[in-house]
Amino acid sequence: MSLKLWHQLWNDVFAVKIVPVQFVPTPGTAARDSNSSRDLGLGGDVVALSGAFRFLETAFRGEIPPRRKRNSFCPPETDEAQPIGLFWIEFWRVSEPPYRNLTKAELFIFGPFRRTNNLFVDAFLQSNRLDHVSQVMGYHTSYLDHFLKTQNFILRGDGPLPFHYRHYIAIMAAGRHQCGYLINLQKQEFLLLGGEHSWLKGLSSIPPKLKNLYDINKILAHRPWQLNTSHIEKLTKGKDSWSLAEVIHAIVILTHFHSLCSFVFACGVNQEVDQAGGYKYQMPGETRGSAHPSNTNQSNPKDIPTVDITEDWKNSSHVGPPSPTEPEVGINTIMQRMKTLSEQNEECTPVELAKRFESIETQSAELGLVGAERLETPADISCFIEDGKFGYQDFAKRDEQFDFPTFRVQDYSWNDHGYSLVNRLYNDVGNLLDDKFKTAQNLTYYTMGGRTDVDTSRFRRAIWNYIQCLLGIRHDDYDYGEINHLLERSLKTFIKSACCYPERVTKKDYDRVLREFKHSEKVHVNLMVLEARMQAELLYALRTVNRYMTN
Amino acid sequence: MATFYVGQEGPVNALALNRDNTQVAIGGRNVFKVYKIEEDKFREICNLRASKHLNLSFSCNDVSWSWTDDHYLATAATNGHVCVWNLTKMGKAMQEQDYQEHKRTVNKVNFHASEPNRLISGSQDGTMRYFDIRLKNAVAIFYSNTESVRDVQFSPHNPYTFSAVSENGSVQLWDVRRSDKCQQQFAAHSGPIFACDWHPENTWLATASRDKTIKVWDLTSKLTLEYTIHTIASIGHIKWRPQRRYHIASCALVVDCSINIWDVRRPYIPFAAFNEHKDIPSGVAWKEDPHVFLSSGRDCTLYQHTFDYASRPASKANPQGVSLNNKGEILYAHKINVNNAIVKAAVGIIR
Repeated sequence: MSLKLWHQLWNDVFAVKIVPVQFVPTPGTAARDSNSSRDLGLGGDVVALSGAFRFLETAFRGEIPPRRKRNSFCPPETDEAQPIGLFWIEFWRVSEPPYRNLTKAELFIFGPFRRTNNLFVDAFLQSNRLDHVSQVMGYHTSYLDHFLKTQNFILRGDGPLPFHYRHYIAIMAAGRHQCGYLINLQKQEFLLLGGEHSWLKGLSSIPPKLKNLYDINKILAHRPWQLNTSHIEKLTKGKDSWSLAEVIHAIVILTHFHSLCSFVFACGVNQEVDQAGGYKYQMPGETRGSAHPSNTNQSNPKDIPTVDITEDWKNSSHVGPPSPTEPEVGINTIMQRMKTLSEQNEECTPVELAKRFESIETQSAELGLVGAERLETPADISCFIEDGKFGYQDFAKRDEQFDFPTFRVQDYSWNDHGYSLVNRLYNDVGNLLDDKFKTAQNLTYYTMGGRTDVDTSRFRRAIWNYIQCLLGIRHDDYDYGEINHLLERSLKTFIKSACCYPERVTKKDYDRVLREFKHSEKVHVNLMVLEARMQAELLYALRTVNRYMTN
Repeated sequence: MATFYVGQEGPVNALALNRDNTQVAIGGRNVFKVYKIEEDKFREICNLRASKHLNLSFSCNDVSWSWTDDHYLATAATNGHVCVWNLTKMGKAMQEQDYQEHKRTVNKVNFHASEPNRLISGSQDGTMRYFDIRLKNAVAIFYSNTESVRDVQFSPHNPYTFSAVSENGSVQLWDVRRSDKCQQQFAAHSGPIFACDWHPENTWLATASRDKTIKVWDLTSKLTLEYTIHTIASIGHIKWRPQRRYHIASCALVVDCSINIWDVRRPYIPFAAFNEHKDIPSGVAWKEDPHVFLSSGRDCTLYQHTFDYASRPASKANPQGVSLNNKGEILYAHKINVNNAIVKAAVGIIR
């Protein structure tokens, strides 16, 4: 691409950036209530912004350099990665020479160009912003595609629940992990769709029907195995009752947002520009330290520390010395172990296998956690939480071993049962979820760190099964001994924290694990946490609904 | 003949009749038994889980009974093992073979109908393995190149041919002598295929899928789709009805607890339905008689059904018809309650 074009783009972006960008309804999404957007003092800058997007899109489409010859092992999406981040590295650093900036910010924004760009445009048109979550997921275009489709469908597509309900349910779900980031985003959506302001005061101000959902929300978020048919029955019978279709819709939204919390925290996703704690545009000469929210009476969400992200991301690629307490196993070792595992044909008695599963469970119960428990929750989050003490309990240490036996995937699997049920009750959402799970499970570029042509399937399977093991789900045909070979302690700690206590995870923890891996690979691991967790929660929920229907 | 059943300790995943249809074997996660089928009840003759050495190899996805030697059973285990059981032995010795070759759950085992000692398995790891039960290892391995194989069935028309269906919606036809590549492959469904069954007389193969259809394929020379049945739920199991050319039984995977018998020429409403199961049925096995069959279910039961007790959904439907002519007129016909005055009036009109 010519230097001239870059400059031109930068000028354009700059022009766009000084208008208030966020939640501006575009003509494309006119379905929104125009009154509510006026209330928020929006509108007006629509054309400028989406026009700039269109411009970028066409400009790039014409000028993409010829693709490098494809590595035969690369799926088509991952050919030539292009720096494409300029229109979503928001506001800052425009004053410095653009090309150099780009290399510094490339962490967030490398991706296969055309598809990612198109997806970003779609994402922007869907929700009037290109949120940070989508940007991080942009590392994995094929996944982002399914993610956006699914999220758009469950929040904005055909479905039994009213639109403002959906966003409120999302708020309730994010509340369980005190994820201010998602809560704030969903609050805005809720208001834009005509939701009542008073509901945002907290759970005490919402209709009883919504309130009734809270039990399921709480259980699914932390101890999904405790869900039973009486919970569904309570919801579907009596006053303010839910239809089964509505229940399923709500469950899908709940599980989506519970697991999205895991992703948000585990990737250290920053607040959006317009949120408290989000960064703001700096004039040249302004010192970095002043990049703090100007609005001081709003509580400063603790979940995402307002460090100087520019510095933070710049440094994270060469994080300081490894902490002496946890020497990390290098990629070479992992690769060696995968090789040994695939070579050895160890015949192991089933009893031994059962023991290994249990030992993984018990060991995981003994793992420490990253971060500390939150001492207090800001008021604007805690109003959406009830019974905040209720949290994850190690499955191996559950009190009622007999009441909650291990969940055998071979008896109730997503492919056979979950899919069919969810599809039946809620317009084909099963297809979307199915594609999303499959993509997350099968995603691979055959790389690890800098190495290419690596068969990563064992490593991925170990992660996936470890996550589900934390939630009491066992795959009969998996040797859980492999987990200990392939996932070292610090990674297990990270995964467990991200899956079960996401609110404790910060960007620092993200930096500390998998140090030899690339960012895209670390994000990949976090995607698997998201999907494996969501699938686990869904399996428990759907099995319960299934039981309720057959009884 | 009456309908009768026997309860079990846990959900039953599969059942298999012996050669002369006098005994039935059932398997599940917590169930593995053989029953003798008597006039009006089942009598337990063997509980293979009585052994002290219970393990995951006892938790079956599927059971098959040898067609050539009545003493042999084979099971597909959720942990990837394929086991062969000798019913004449006792205790631990019953388990004659324990093949640990599949890397993932085994979905299906089937004995060869004429070749003694031959057994085939299909697994989640995408392979099929052909065993001689006298040997310690598989004699042939077939790589489907799909994620997972859900069902394998020997053709009753050609002793070397077997069909395999997989989760990517494709059907493969293999020759047991050629493990290098499959003879034919075609995309049959838009979702995972869970079951297939060869027609006992025609060269038809029926396939059942998560896309809520059962399709009947004619495999003579040119492949054609003969019939498509639309079901209300994903189908997990199908079996042609003996001596009834167009009839096939189906079991749903979720939601629908009845066993439906379809006439393939009438694809929207079942010919007969059996509603005894309280949870989804997991398998159907016909006795030679087209009026009697057995079924197992996730509701922890084993049933014998007879056609005398079938419900006939078609008879409850309101007969009506609509047709359009080329002038844009619509003809609509429906049933009315017979009333003499109307009949007379109608007769008058016809004149």
